[in-house]
Amino acid sequence: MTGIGATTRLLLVEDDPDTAAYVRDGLAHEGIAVTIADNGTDGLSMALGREWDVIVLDRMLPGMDGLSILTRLREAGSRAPIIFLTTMDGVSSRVGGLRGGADDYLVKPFAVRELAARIAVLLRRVGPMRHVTALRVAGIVLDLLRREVTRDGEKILLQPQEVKILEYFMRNPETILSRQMLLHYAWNVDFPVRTNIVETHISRLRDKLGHDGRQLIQTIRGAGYVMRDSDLGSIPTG
Amino acid sequence: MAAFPPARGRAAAIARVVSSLSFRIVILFAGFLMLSGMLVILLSGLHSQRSLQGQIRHAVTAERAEVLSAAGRQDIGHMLPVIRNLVRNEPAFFYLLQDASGAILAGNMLHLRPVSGGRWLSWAHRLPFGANDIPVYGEGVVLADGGYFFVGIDASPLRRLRHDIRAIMIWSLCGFCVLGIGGGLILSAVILRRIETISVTARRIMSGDISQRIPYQGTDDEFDHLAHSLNAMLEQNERLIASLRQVSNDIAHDMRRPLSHLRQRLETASLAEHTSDGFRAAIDDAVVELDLALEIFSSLLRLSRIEGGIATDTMVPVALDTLTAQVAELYRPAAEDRHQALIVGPVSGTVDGDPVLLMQMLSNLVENAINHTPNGSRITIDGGVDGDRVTLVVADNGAGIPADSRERVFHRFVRLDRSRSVPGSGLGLSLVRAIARLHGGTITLSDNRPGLRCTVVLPHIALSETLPGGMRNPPGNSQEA
Repeated sequence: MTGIGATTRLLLVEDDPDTAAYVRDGLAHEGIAVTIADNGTDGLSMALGREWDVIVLDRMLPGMDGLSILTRLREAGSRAPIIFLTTMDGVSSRVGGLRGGADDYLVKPFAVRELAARIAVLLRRVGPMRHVTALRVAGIVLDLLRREVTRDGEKILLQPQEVKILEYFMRNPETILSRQMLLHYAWNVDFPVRTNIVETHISRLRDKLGHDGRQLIQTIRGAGYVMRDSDLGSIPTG
Repeated sequence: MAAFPPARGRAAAIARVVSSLSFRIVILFAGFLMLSGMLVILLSGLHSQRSLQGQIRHAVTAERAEVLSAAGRQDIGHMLPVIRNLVRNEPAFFYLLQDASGAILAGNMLHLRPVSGGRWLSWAHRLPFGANDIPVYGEGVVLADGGYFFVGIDASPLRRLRHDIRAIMIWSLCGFCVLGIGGGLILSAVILRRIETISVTARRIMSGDISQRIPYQGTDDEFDHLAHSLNAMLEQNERLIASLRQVSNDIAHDMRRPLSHLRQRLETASLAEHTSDGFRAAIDDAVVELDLALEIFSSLLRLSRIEGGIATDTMVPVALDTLTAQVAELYRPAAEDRHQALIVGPVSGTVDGDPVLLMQMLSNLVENAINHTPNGSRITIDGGVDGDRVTLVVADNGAGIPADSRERVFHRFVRLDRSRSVPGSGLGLSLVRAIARLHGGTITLSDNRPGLRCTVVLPHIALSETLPGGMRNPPGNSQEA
């Protein structure tokens, strides 16, 4: 249920060959086939030329900029999930990208595994788990309608925000969710925080989930957190 | 060609002197002094001459009247004895009596054309004796029987006066010239010294001593005013240079730390690690270090972008109570871990703004309070509407910031000494202020007795305006919900 398979086809519109190669090689490990367009004009025609599972668009491109491609794609009726790459200071391009119909954005420079995680999350969003009413991992049941959490039948009292984080983990098991992704998803924070707020929230959530909370939501050094059902075994990190 | 340079050099030197301000001041000064001196002498000379002429005329008129009255009647018969008698005693006047045919009957001068009224005579030969070339002024009367009577006086004092005036003029011209050149030199020396002072200061500043200032004369004159303006400019420049220098130093410093850690880690790993897991862990750590460094750049760029102003079409109505609750929820666990109380008071009001930036602003303030106050501190968030303004107050009861540093902490990379141990880039408050300003607001720091009180004031928008577009969802409900 990772949502990433050998058939995942990704179009990367990126003019910087180093970044493009980095993404292509990094995603190859995840079984994603990356096709690269190195300018905006080719990018648009390739994006319209066939069905893509995911399109990753750079903001600044020769020929046609990412925002224009995005707008044209959405106008042409394309519903492919699109991840927008913005520069570090791109306050307005972030807003513009989301308004223009991007599904997610990533600030450069980024780690390819963060991109992979975001792709995984995106693909699941459009996948079959979209319409379930309850999520289940390792005896934990999250009732999505009543926003209630039980573990082995016992009710766990969680704050609404904690339910939201837990849902994020449970919808994306075995996927490393970075600190930035958690901040962004749960609080819409896309600026650097100098306090260990994510850590404290996760540690509270773990405590409430039970004695094996630490095994359930594992810390991956330098990458983030991953929810693992220890009964199902483990996947290699990274 | 080779023979020309000295001449050309001299010509150039002359041209330099002529074009110099000093030369022009001297010429102008001397010129005007001479001109005004001339004018004074000329006027007073003309006046003296006129008054002397007046005296001469008066004397002649009086003498004529006296002679005529002594004669009784204006004919040759009556006048002849009177004039003969007058001429006999070496008179101070010249007399002449001619008959109708022009023959001289009596007098001490030669023949004249019979013309009545005042007249000037300067023909020496008209005078039979005495000085040869003295000028004479006199008056003639044509008598009833055709005779002609003339009485005149020696007018040489007038000539002497003219001569004297001319002499005075020439000498004083020389005097004024000398005085003018001297005065001009002194004047230009005074002015040039002031200019040179400014120029010397400029050269010192250029040679690196940017703390140099132009000295004041204390005369409060135009030069002092100029010096004042220039010094103010230099002050401003020095501040800018200092802040630039500070920023580059700090960037270098802040970058070097994570990068040198990174280097150490990688070096250690390449020497010590032998397993791929070990390498992976080392690389992961290295990436974290690198991210810290990149984050500083990211914040700097974002700061510049915000200070430059971003498109206002990203602005939506943001309710401050939701925003505050959001931030408090985000930071409460972190505060509780430090046994700090994070208390949210009643907050109301709506502002037009970028929700994420406003959240960053409030988050930075709360984060500062958490990071810079000791365990067990109390942090409060309050706010309210005051007319067309909304205030948002984040206060703590920690150590606070000394009054003299409260402006400085808004500058980029400024970190107070005692907070050096706390992680941070020194950009937080710069960003807070930039965001507040972007939204047309202000931020002020004050004493919370004890602690720090950060007051953000933003323009309030009336709630009715926000309804048609609908309130934006709380920032937490991102597009992934």
